[in-house]
Amino acid sequence: MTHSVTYLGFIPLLPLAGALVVGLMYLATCQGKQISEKIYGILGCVGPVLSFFMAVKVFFALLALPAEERFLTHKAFTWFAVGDLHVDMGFLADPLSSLMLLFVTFVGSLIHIYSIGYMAGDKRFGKFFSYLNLFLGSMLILVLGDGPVVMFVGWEGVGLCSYLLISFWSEDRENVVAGNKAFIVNRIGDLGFVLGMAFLFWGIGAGGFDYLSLKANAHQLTAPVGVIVCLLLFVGATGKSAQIPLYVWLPDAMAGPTPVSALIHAATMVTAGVYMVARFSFIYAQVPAAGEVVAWIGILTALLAAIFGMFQNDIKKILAYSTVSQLGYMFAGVGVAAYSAGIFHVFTHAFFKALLFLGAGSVIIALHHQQDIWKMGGLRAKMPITYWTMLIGGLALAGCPPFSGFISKDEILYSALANGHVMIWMIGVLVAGMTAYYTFRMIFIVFHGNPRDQEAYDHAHESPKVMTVPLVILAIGSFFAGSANIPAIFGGHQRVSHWLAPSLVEHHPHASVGLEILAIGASIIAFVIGISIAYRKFTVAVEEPEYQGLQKFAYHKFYVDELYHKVIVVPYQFVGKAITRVIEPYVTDAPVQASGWLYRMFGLAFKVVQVGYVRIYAVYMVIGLSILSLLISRSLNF
Amino acid sequence: MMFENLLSIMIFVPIVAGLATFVLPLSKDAARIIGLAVSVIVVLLGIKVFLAFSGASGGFEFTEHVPINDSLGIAYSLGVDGISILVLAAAATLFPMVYLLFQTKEKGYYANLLIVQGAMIGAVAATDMVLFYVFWEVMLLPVFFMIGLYGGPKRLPATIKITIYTIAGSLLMLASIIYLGIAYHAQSGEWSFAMAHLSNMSLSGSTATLAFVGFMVAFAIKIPLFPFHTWLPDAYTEAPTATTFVLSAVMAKIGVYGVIRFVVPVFDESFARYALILAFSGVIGMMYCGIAALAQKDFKRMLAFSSASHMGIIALGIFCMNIQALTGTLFQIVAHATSTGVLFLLLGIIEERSDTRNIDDFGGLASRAPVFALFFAVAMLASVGLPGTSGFIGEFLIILGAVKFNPLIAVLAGTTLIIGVCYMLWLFQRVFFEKPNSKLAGFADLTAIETLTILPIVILIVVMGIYPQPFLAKIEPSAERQLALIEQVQQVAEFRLEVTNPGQELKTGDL
Repeated sequence: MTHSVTYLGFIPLLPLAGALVVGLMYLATCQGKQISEKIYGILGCVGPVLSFFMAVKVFFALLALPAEERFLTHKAFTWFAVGDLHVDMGFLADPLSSLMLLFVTFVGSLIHIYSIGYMAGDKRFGKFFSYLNLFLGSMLILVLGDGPVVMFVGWEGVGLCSYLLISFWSEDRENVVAGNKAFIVNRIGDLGFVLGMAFLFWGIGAGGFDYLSLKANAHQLTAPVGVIVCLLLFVGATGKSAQIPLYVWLPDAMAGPTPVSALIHAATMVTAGVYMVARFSFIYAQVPAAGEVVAWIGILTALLAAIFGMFQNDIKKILAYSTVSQLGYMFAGVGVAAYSAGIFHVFTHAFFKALLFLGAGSVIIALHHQQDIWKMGGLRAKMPITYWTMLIGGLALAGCPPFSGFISKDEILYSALANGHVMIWMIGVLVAGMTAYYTFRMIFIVFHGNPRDQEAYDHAHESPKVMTVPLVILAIGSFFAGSANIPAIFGGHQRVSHWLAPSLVEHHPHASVGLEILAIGASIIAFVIGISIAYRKFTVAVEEPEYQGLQKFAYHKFYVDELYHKVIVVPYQFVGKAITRVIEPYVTDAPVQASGWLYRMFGLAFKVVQVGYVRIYAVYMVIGLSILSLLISRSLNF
Repeated sequence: MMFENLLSIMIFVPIVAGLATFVLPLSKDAARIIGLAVSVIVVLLGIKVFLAFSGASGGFEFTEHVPINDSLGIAYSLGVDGISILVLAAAATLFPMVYLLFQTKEKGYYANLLIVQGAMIGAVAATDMVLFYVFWEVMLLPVFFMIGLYGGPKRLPATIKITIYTIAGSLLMLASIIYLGIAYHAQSGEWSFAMAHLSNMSLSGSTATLAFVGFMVAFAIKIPLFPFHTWLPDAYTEAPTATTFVLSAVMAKIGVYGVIRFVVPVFDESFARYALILAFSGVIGMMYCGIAALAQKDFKRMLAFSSASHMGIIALGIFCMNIQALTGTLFQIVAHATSTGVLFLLLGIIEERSDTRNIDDFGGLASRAPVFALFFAVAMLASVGLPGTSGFIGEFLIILGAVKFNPLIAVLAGTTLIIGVCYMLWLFQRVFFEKPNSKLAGFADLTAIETLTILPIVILIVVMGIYPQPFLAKIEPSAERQLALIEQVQQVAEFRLEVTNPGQELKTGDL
């Protein structure tokens, strides 16, 4: 039973309209007198905030329905239909998408407001807000799309905005290269997505290519095709959500302005892959083998990124690797068929990671675009709001009970354990300890101890209200978001899991108090160990260390970027040059050149008559035509 | 009522105007105004045809039929169906931009443009093979003149190369057409070159295969299909940009159209047998030209390779022999015309404003010419197939169809998603991003006229991406009919394939 509501279409449309209006205003004025930032700021924030209110409306509309009828749809028009393929420009709000909708519009609105402060004085202020609106609109299409193809529209749209915003300060070649890398690596994933959709269509798409029809027909999908579809779609997810082997673009993406890192590269876009797997839970649940691959890739990514995160010096890169690592957890969750746990971690992560990035942005602005943590120190006194909010975010990320990150991460780890994936669980606990370590390494170095750069320290100051208020709101969210899904062992009701149930195909393992206590105990011990090592090492006066041996190897991120460059980029360019310089002139074109030489010899004979080469060949054509018409007229007996 | 002969008017008004421009002592400005006026008339008529065309039946509409030679069965017969409607629309609507944006030194250039437009419309509208051939040849002549007389510094080798290719192709096609006529005569005792008659023949034997090859090579050159593409980079680069625009946006599509219209129905058996090889050729060409594009230093040459690369995917859609892929190809014909068209038009403007085409001489144009950059970006995104632009729909349908045809080919075809962004983003980086290059200090943004000239195509790119269904609905019934012609034969061919090479064949039932 579904209910059709038109206002669903307005949710993505509002920010898109904002993007168009702000963009055209900027385009019209960017070379003359600039429009004031206030106007851009207000216009830029109107769309996201209105979308948030509509998301709330959707949530309550769903809440009012009986659980099994919680589906709101809106079909705007038939997008394209060929043969059995029928794709509507349609939207679907169900428990899953409504949850995504809520936090995407909420965090999105806050980051738009924060950006008014962060981007103040930038000569492309208007352009920034146009892109940011475009991003949010695309993200909402991704979330609200009623089928894989509409999701792909948003999927590629957010990818485009990610590219545009990473290379936002485009004078700097490095930024543009990072943007290109993000786009190209994402495109590798998109190839998987497109092929996955195609296989899915030929499998069960003829009966309707939207989620609800696909779900109804999923049982007709044969297992081999199911595995192919799941793995191909997951290739798409590894691109967008920065998993092995396609994670390399995300750390570089930190070249973009910090609000972009917070919104796109932490809270929303990069979680799209997890959302996709959860969205297709009706297929993934049928083929556990594919889920196993997802879980292993996820947990290994979590481990790898945590290792890298422990040795980074750039505050944004630390957070970037922590994002990759947390995304790995989420995939481990959906991989072991704990879809609601994975999505719940997406939800809590959006708050605390956005908070951490915005806090980092506040620090970066205070220190005049200094991002090296070894040039910071003691900022606690200068920036109390930033410090306390980041501390809350840090505790949530590190998995300190009862902060939100603890509850959601613990649910993933418990599910892995309960579903029999003991190795995955053990690695997960290890990563939890590493997370606590690198998070507090960052916080202690930046905010505790003595200033390492006295001059920068002296000029540092707390950020304006337009930036700190969003920090405080997100800090509250980071603390309380977990309370939405408190497990039964703590007397909670797992409201989020129950809410999501109608959207997901999920079998909850039998609750075992023993396993639950084991999982929670291990997580807490890992957290305590991680944070105490960080406390011992970094609350004292310590300078940037020289890394040796394995540490150096980790500091250089196992040289994976260099490897990709040598194994993929260089050969690719080499083939391009080889085609242009060797194959094209000496192989494919050789027969033509040989005949060209013959013609030229032939042409020499005509040179006497003083006709240019070109016309001769035209004459050939005329002669050919004449012969033909002669033949025709002969047969006509003229 | 004059609208009964709408197609003839669209063909002969430009041709007659072109010939008149040659003959009459006109100034070049007068010739340009004539060209513009005629092209605007053709646009209006083209829009009328497009809107009035229903396509529901899948058959020909706007038909005209005047017998020329009853004993040989040659007739002046025209018509439009779903296969040709979008190619016709492209040929009819894209020319005013050329007259508005570019100037040239001689009136002869405008005369050639007029004639080429009329002939292209004629080739697309012809439903008699001999008539098609005549228009095909007439269409090629102005191209030689435009490149040979008005082209860049290396125009002569380029012209020679395209001439060799084209003559070879034309001769093969002519021989094949004559063979078809004879074969029809042998089977039915009558002479006819009408498509409707020839497509009902069943041809087999080695001569039929030869004739198939003759047709296929002629069209493969025009598309171009790998390895018959080597004329393209030189011709596209050396031709005046208006000509490159015509070649890439319209003429290349007539090659694709020719395969669908003439090769598929007439040589159904050979076609089904060689479809896999041809599909490979399309995919390899896409990859080959796409990778080569990355290594180009000349802006125009890079776009030439890019255009050739996309034609590989468009061609692939024909050979997959299912409705999604074929409809995708027919849609992509126009989608590609719009995106590649805008790219070449903007390049032409660059050529007029600066004396360099070396990519490394550019930089920072996004801040210097934001409207220019925006238009280029939209066309670029359509070219790489971003959803929301026209480029996505066609490519998606083709890849979707390719998965059913042969998953390996689909995977290779899908790499176009990656290959396209590699060269395009790097180009965009070096031309529009990074630090402004001092060599382009005086580069001004698009003027109001230039903006208004290009804007309609830019809007069309977005409209076709968001609301393609009206276009697809006009195509699909004819595509269905065309496929029905080969369906039976295809089953036979698949059976043979299975017998000779079991395991190679795709089990569609599994998918």
